[in-house]
Formats: sequence, C-alpha cells, structure tokens
Amino acid sequence: MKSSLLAKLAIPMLAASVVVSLLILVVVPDRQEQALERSRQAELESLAAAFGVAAQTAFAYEDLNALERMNTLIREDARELFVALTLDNPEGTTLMAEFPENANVMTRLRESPEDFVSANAVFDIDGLLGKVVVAQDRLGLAAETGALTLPLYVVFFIILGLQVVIALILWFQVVKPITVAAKLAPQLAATHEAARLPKLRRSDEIGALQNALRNLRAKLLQQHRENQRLFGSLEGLVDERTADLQRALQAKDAFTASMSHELRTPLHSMTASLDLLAQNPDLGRKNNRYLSIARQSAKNLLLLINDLLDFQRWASEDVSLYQSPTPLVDMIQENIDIASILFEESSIDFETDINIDNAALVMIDRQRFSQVVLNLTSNARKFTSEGQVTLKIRTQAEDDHSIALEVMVIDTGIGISEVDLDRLGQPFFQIGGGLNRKYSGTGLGINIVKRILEQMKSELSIQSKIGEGSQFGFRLLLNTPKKSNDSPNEDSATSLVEPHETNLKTPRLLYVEDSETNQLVMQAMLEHFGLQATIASSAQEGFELLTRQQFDILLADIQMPVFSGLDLMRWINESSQLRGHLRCFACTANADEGASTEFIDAGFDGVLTKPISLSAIESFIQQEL
Amino acid sequence: MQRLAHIAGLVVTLWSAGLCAPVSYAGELFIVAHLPDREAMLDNSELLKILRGKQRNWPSGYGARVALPSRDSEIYDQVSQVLFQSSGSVMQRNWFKLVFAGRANAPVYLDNDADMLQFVTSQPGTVGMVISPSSIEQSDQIVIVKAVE
Repeated sequence: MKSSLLAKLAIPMLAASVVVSLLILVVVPDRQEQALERSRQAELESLAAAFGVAAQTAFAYEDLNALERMNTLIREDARELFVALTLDNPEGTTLMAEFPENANVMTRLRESPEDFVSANAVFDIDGLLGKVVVAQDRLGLAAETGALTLPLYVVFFIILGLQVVIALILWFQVVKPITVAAKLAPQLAATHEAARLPKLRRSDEIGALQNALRNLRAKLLQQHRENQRLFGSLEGLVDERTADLQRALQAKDAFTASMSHELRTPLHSMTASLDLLAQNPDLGRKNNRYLSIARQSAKNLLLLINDLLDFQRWASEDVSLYQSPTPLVDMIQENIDIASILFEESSIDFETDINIDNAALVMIDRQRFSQVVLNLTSNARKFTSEGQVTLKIRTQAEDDHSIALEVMVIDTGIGISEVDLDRLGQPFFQIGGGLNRKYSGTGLGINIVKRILEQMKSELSIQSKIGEGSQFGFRLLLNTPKKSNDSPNEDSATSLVEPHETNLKTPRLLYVEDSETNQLVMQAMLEHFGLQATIASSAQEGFELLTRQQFDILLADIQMPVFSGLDLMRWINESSQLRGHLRCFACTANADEGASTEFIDAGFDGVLTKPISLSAIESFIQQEL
Repeated sequence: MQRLAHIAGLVVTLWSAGLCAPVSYAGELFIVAHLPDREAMLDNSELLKILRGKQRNWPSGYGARVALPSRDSEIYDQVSQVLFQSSGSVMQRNWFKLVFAGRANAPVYLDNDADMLQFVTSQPGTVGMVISPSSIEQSDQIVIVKAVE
C-alpha cells in the first residue's frame, strides 16, 4: 500500500484537499464574521440614521407613520435587533422608548458593550438632543455567521466525499488492476500456466494494459511451450551428441589400446631378435656396430611410443602410481644399464656418480622412476654433442621410515635460454623447434617427467647456461616398506610378478601366442637360456594342451583372435584340476597399469610387458625357476 | 400718558384672553367612532382604551385607527388631559413610545373638529375626539359618545 499509486496519488491529493479545506474552514468563517460585522455595523448605522429621521419627523411634524414603518421593519427583521431612543433633558438622559419593550438595551450596552454590535444617530427634538441606538447581540451575529458558514461546511464535506469517491474510483479502476497486473507479472515470468489475469471489459488505458498483458502472457506461454519443445529436442540432441562423444572416446581408447598392442608387438619381436643377435660373438666389429644402432633405435622407438601413449592417456586422467617394495640399488643399476645403451657407439661419455644406501628398500613405482630417469638421460644425450652426461644419485636417511633420493642428470650440451626455460615442459615444445629443427623427438618428455614427479610429490629443477650445459634434478621422499607386509620385488621387467619359490629343475612351459613371429622370438629367447616351450596358437589349443599335458608355467598372450588370454585364464580358473600348481603369466603389449591390475585380478600370477627383452626373460627365469 | 396707554393695552389683551378662552375650552369632549362593519358598539371606556393606544383592534379584530388633535388643535391639551391626565406633549410622547415600541399603529393628527369629523366619517374603524360633533349625524356606523375620564 505504501508504494501503491493510491498512496502516491490519491492519498496526497486527499490529504492536501483536507488540509486546504480545513484552512478554509478556519480562516473563512473568521473573515466572514469580520466582514459580516463590518457590514452589520454599516447597516445598523443606516438604520439608526433612518430611525433618527423618523423620530425627528414624528416629533416635528406629528407624523408617526415613518416611525411605525421603521418599527415594522425592525419587527419583521430576522436579525433580532434592539432599538432604544433617549432624550437628553435638563435632568439628564432618559430612556424614551425601546424595542423590544423592557429589553434594557441601554443598560446592557453600558454594562457589556463587547456583547453587541451597535450604532447610533443623534437628532434634535424641540431643542433637546435625542439619540437612537440600534444594536444586535453578537450571539445573533455568530448564529448568522454559522448560518453563512454552513454551506461552506456542506461544500467541504461534499468535496471530501467526492475526494473519497475519486480515491475509491482510482483504487478500483486504476490501482487495483495495476496492482493485480504487477503481482501477476513475476508469476507470469516464473510460471506461465499459473498466472491468470482477470478479464476486464474496458476500453480505457487500463483495459489496454490488461489486454496487452494477456497477450504478452499468451505469447510467453506460446514461447515457453516452444522453448520446452526446443529444450526437449536440444536435450535429445545433447544426449545423442554425448553418446556420440562417449562412443568416440571409447573408440579412441580402443584405438589407443590397439595401437599400443600393435606397435609393441612388432617392437617386441625386433628388440628380442636384436637382443638374441647381440649374444652372437661371431658378428664382427662392423655388424656389432650396426646391431648397436638398431638396438638403440629400437629403445628410442620404445621410449617414443611410451611417451605418446602416456601423454594421450594422461590427457583425460591423472598419472597412476603403482608402488611396490623395491631394492634401491637394483633399480638404479637397471636404469644405469638401460641408459648406457643410449651412449653406446657415441663420443659422449656417460658417467655415473652414485652414493646411495645399498641396503635400502623403498616403496616406489619402479617403471615410472625409470621413465623419468631415462627421459632426462635421453634428453641430455640428444642435446649434447661433445663432453659428457653424468647421472648423479644420492640418498639421505630422513628418519626410520623414509629416505630422500636425489637424482641429477648433468650434461655439457647446448644449454637452454631463459625464454625456452619458461616454455620447457609445455606439450610438444622442443628446443630448436620449427621446420628446420635440429633435434628429433616429440616434445613430450619433459612434460611427462613433470607430471610423474608432480604425482610423486616432487618437482623438476632445471639449471642451465647457454653453451655450457644443463642440470636437471629432482628429490623424492621415499617410504620404506613395513617389514611384515611388504617384500622386495627384484625383477626389473616383471614388476608385478609375485615372488615364487619353486624346486622345478626342468620346468614345462606352455606359450600361447597367435603371432608366429612372437612364437619364434620367445622360443629363441628361452632356448638361449636352455629352456623349451610348447607352443599353442590359440586359447582353445592352449586349453586343450593343458587338459592333456602337465605344465608348470603358462605364458599367455592376451589379445588373440576369437578367444583372448583372459578367456583362457577364466577356463583355467573354472577347472580346479588345471589351476593346481600351474603358474600363469600374461604376455601383453598393453602397457597400461590398469590393464596389468586387471590381469592380476583375473587370476594371472604376473605380467610380462612387451617388448620383452632378453634381460627381462633372464630376470624372469631367475625369479621363477 | 404713554404708560397709561401700555396698561390699557395689557388690560384689553388680558380681557380678550379671559373672554374667549372659557367659551372655547369649557366644552365637553366627544368621542367619534366609525364602527367597522358588523362591529358592536363599544362603551366609553373601551373607546378610550383605543384612544390611549392600549387596544389596537376592534373586538372583531378589525384594526383600530386613532385620530388625535395636533398641536395646532384647540383641544390638544384637553384631549391629552382626558386621555393621559397630562399635557399634550405627554400625549405626544406616550404615543411616540407606543408607536416606537410597535404596540400601536401611528395615529393621525388633525387640526380641528371639521377635519376630525371628516376623517372619521370617511375611514371605517377610526376613533377620534372632537368638542363639537353637531355637524354630523349619528348612524349605525358613526357613533358619538361623550368622553368621560
């Protein structure tokens, strides 16, 4: 109501009208009374003069008719006048006559003149001074004023009533419809169906406003329905697109997995064959050099594939770490061995400066640690044309449960400018990049290193000077395993292989693999260590062999036509006779840690990740046989 | 001689005044009334009430009109004596008061009996006083009554 039109327009108008009217009611009667008094005074003076003339005439000419007429006039006058006639005799002033009789006009006038409005006239009667006094009681005058003011009051109350009527009309005809419309407007915006506008049969502005609102409501309703329809279709479209996207993502994941497998499988054959070839002492110096180049290229290709696959996978998820109890010295030695290959047939010296606790056993993701070290070493090798690359590793005991491991890769290479240092670690950024780039690589290595270190709660420090070299380093705080639950995992290639004690001297091996190349390579590698394996080309054939013959070790490829290695594992698990003492290992080109976990969960005792090197087979044999 | 002439003049004047006055003023006053239609005759006292301004109308309600001798009339003081037991000026003042107060209609002042009789006979409802009403005759309407105080 406070902010209504009625409050803003009608009430102020009404209030102003009342105030003005009250002022008029106070001022006007007062002024009117004064005016009436002045007017009455003049009238009384005229009457007194007329009376004087009449009296004089009456005395002088013995004609009382004028006096009679005056009396009639006074008697018939509604103003209730008093008239007195005095004569000044030698004895004094005497009241000669008065009207009405016995009104004691002169006495009352003398005693309280303020109660009367009066006038007098003097005249001469036979030499005597006569005086006519005409008076009116002020009460009578006030009554006259009241009578005069009454119409004013009537007019005031009529105006007041009209104002109230106008206010009511304003309320019902203007304010209320607008208020209703104003209240309904938010509802109209919120719930088009709920808002109902009253139907007004009016042709004025309010009617036009209501009709406009009704039309607006109808249009909004129509628009709302249209929006709902569009929204529904959009939702369907979004669902469809989401499904498409999910399918695309699934396809991408499947493609990634497939590419990983497809790339690693031939690489496995290459590295394994090259490893076997390297065992031949009769190759000669020249062939050995070619072989070294081939092995290094294979290693580089493996690193490249791993980087690309990791980067692709980590674009949508965080780096997962799979920590296991690991002898520190073994892990570092393995990294030195692998890194050394990078420097074979190179003029650059690869030096190590290792000062660690040889007995330390730490919880670490061995594969990711190696990925970091080899990436940094590979980079150092790539950007160093002369001089040396030094791998410096230190340990420092923090407390009973943790060890600090500091790793530094120091080179005497080209160095990195400050501008490039800021950009280093951005995906696909390469020093000396561009169309005429001098150095090979994807530009993902440092990015991957940073992400792995970040997940390991560490960070990469870089110090570099153009033309003098660079120093990459990081510091890891590694927990030592609890003695009761965690046991060391000493194998390098089979980090997920569970340690197993066996007394078998000539183990019976079954290798299930659909690829003939891989069959040959694996047979060759096993033969290199004096072992023989029965080969099955499919999961079904492998299962049949298992049902017919006794085997101690099963090496099964996972991705095979028709039935996979996982199907074979499921069949084995379903047969209690077969599972018995049989140790089962998955051979897969799928490097995903999640996949390895899936295989272990499926029943495999360990996972051999392709490409499987000769040294990995050696470690496996040492571990399992 | 001259003093004798003055004395003789004064004696003649006083004689003249003494001779004439008793004749003129020694007569009785009569009330002359012209009764309105169907108005019963009033007695002396009731007619005097009208002449004194104490009764305004005839018993029938017809308005009574009073004719009085003017200051120039011979019976000015005599009438006043009969009506108000005082001089003519007192009569004048009394009637002035009555008319002023509205208790009576204004009287008519006439200078002699002839005018009085003529006025009364011509105006029904009129009451006047004369000293010699012999010039008119009484009738059912015109009544002459001896004025008794």
